[in-house]
Amino acid sequence: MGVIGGSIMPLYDALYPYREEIEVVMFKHEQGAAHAADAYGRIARKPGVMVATSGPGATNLVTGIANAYMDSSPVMALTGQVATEVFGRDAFQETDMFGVVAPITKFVYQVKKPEEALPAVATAYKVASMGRPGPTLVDLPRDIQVAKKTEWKGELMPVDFSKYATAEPNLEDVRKAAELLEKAERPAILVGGGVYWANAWEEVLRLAEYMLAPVITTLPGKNSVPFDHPLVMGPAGMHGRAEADAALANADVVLAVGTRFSDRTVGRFDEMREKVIIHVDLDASELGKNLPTAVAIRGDAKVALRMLLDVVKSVDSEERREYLSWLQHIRKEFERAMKEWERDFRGLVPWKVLKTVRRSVPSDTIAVTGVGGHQMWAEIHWDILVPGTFITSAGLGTMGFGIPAALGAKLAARDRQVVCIDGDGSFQMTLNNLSLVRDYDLPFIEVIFDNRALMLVKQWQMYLYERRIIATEFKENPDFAKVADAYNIEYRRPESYEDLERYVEWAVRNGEPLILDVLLDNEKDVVLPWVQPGKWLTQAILPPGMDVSLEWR
Amino acid sequence: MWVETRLCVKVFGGLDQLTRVLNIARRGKVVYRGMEARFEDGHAVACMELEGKAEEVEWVMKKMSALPEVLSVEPRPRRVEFEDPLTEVVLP
Repeated sequence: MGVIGGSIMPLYDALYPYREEIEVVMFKHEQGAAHAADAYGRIARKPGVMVATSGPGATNLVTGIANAYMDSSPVMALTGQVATEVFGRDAFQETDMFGVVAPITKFVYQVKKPEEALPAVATAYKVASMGRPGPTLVDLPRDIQVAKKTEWKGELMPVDFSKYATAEPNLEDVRKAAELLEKAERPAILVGGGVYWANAWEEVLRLAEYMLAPVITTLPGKNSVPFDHPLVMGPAGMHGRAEADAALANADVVLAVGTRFSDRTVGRFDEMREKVIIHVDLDASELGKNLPTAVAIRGDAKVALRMLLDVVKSVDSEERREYLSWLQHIRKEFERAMKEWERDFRGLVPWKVLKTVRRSVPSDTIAVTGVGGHQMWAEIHWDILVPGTFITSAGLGTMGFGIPAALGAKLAARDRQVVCIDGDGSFQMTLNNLSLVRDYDLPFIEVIFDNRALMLVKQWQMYLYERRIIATEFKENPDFAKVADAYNIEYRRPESYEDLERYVEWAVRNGEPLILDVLLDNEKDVVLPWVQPGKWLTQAILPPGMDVSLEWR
Repeated sequence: MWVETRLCVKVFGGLDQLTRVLNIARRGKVVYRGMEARFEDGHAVACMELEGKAEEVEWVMKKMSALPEVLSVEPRPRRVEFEDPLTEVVLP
């Protein structure tokens, strides 16, 4: 996945004889290739490879690399570079890519001798998916690419791979964790993206049932567990579900698995510090990074949870059942309030749009999002039925992620439906990549939440900046119908949920791409619940008419 | 807990790889008092004197250790711990 250019031409040329075996996908912009490689890596569970020429080609990858770094996604970038003899002379299209990406890659290497090239690429590919996944980059000067082939017997760079070997969790720590969970009054399991990578959702659910503990997720952790399990409360945090915010806020013991405790999830750290935290993570540098832990368990989530299940005693107390009923009551109240709120909107309402699309596509459909209000609506209301089917830019919050990520997801799973939940702002950042839909037969359904604004930022201006609305409202959007037509993609603007359902079903049935332009009320399209910056989870602004406290007793 | 320590970090390669270590060092919420580096036999060893809250020093060490290029991170002898930095540590 990439864009060709002068300094990477020899590498592309070397691919020519292998073009039947290695699919070469030509993007319209390198950022698109980077996000596509990211999504490909997340679905295929092996590194997506992005390729770019030196200078602007390589720097255009940077946002995508940073995104993959923040979301721990396995990708490898190969960048062309000017010839070694002109290094540092400001040669045409020279950029110090090593210097640029050094802080945002898991591994980076600039090849300076021909014999280093193959070990460096092989090492970068391996490191990208070992242990906690992440982006790697190999910078290949032009003279290295054209150098005479050197013999390679599979050697790698002298990297200490043993640090990525899965550590066996310490049994004593696991026993301590079990004891804390048994004694807890209101335990909670906080699930991050690491649970997806460890394939540990069954263990999470079994432990939740065993302990009668609610399961809360982070935004990337939403991808890790199915939402239709009664103990799964959904995502907590800035735009989490009310019952999930309550479950995390009122927990006395939190078992956090494969998460880094992002400020977006926990709201305020002071209150979190009062809780007893059991932290399970593959990456030792995450343990205790953001919050002090009572027990830190380094290891694979699946292995650690299985060990925990072996030693923990089941708890079925009246108190825990009562607490769970209270959380379910909040869920019901939340859903009732959302139903009432619908009446305030002109036209379609965002969460009903999501429910309608969800109903109309197969359960294993991969949902991809852009970044903004639509993403937060999807966080709250898009139901994950099969783990591994939700791709979003969580850590970096990269607008424009949606379209290229949908393409990457489709490349990784051509037999599955892909839906991109997008905003009109995000859509316009990377829509040039839509041409790949027909070029490479990568149909997906693009649902644009069209509120003619950068709505999530406008929401902050409305509530936190005394309605000083600046630089968030588009004067006029381009004609999206003509955009769709230009790329030979069907376009529809649904007027009702029945229309929406019909259009989506048509696209699914025929395997056709479709752009749905869903007009939303751009004054009412405010994402709630909302934990404002600096506030605690129980202080979330709830939907109008939801008169319930998120504080237990 | 305030910690004053000397870390020696060994990486394969040269200045490029050392840059990666320094990128981590830059982001640690600690104070650096001194640093020196040597390059030999395809390795670089950087030793740095730093002080800060124990958890911040720990963060720096863990993050450096996580880099694939890093072969070892060793805290060297000069490790002093104080309960209260405001009263017991006299900063130069």
